[in-house]
Amino acid sequence: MTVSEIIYGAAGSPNIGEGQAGSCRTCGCSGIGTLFSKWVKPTFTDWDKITSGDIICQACLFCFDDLNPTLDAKLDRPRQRMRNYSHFVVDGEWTPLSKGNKTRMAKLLLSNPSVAVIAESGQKHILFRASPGLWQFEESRILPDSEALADLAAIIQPLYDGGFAKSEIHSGRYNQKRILSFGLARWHENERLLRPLRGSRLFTIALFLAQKEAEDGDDNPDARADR
Amino acid sequence: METTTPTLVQIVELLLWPCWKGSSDSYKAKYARTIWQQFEEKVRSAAYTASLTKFLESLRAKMDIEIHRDDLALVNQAMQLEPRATLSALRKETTALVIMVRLLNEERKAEYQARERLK
Repeated sequence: MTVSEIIYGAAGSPNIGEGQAGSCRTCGCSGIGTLFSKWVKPTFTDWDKITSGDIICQACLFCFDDLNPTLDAKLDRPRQRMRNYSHFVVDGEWTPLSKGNKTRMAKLLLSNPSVAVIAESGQKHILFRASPGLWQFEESRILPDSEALADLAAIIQPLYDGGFAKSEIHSGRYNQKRILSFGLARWHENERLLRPLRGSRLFTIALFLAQKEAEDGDDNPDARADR
Repeated sequence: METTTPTLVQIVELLLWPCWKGSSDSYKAKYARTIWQQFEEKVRSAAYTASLTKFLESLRAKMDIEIHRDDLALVNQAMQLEPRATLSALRKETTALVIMVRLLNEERKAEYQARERLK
């Protein structure tokens, strides 16, 4: 199964498209949907990633949709775009999350998700690039390693909570005053552990997922219910 | 001559602290707001060389440093440290090293202020 199919299935497989049978140009599966030539817009740029075929299937239509009523209903907000959200499927349950729900994203990533697609910019369609069982972070595909991610988070989160900016943790160039208020020995120990991992994809995800409790703006009703 | 692999404390006490003390007061006053950041950047950039003598020469030129006579023995001792490990630490641990110098400076300042209060 493709990521689009898993999400579409978990969302209840709503009937969309024009019922045209064929082969999907984005996922390569046979199915029904809408003629690709009719659906594609002049602004589409991912020509290098599409396959041969003639339609865009219902599952991919659902995932590309910029006006997705199922997503609107799920989030209880009108006119939401699939690409603006990170998407997770755990035990058959689909969870779209905004960037404000990083704490929940981290929990879902550690719950062995069948789909884990994290949108950093929210501007690119990344669902069709993802593979089931792998973590997709924007355009990068990462082999899941929950333990390593948890270890990294345990180093990064205290630094972030301690007042360091993500750019400092990312670059390794820290403001001296912040180090002094955090404590030189404590900072040095964390930085010693972090240094060899800096630049890895897991490091990038762990840094992205770091969030202060006050910033955990759960504008998502699902996330609110979980608190 | 025998060289020794240094600890961060040794690098600070034998090399960076004498350099900091020897950097000109007018330079420090001119860039008071950013002096520590500058010191960190200049130490890091000066450390991209293969010898400790060249590092010292470069840092002296960048920060207008005149090593105090009392500290010459320390700096001579620093020149006996293992150059690769020392320069590598100066490049990779610059922030920690400079903060250690900064803390030493704070200590010295506190001692001075305490002495002044007793006068």
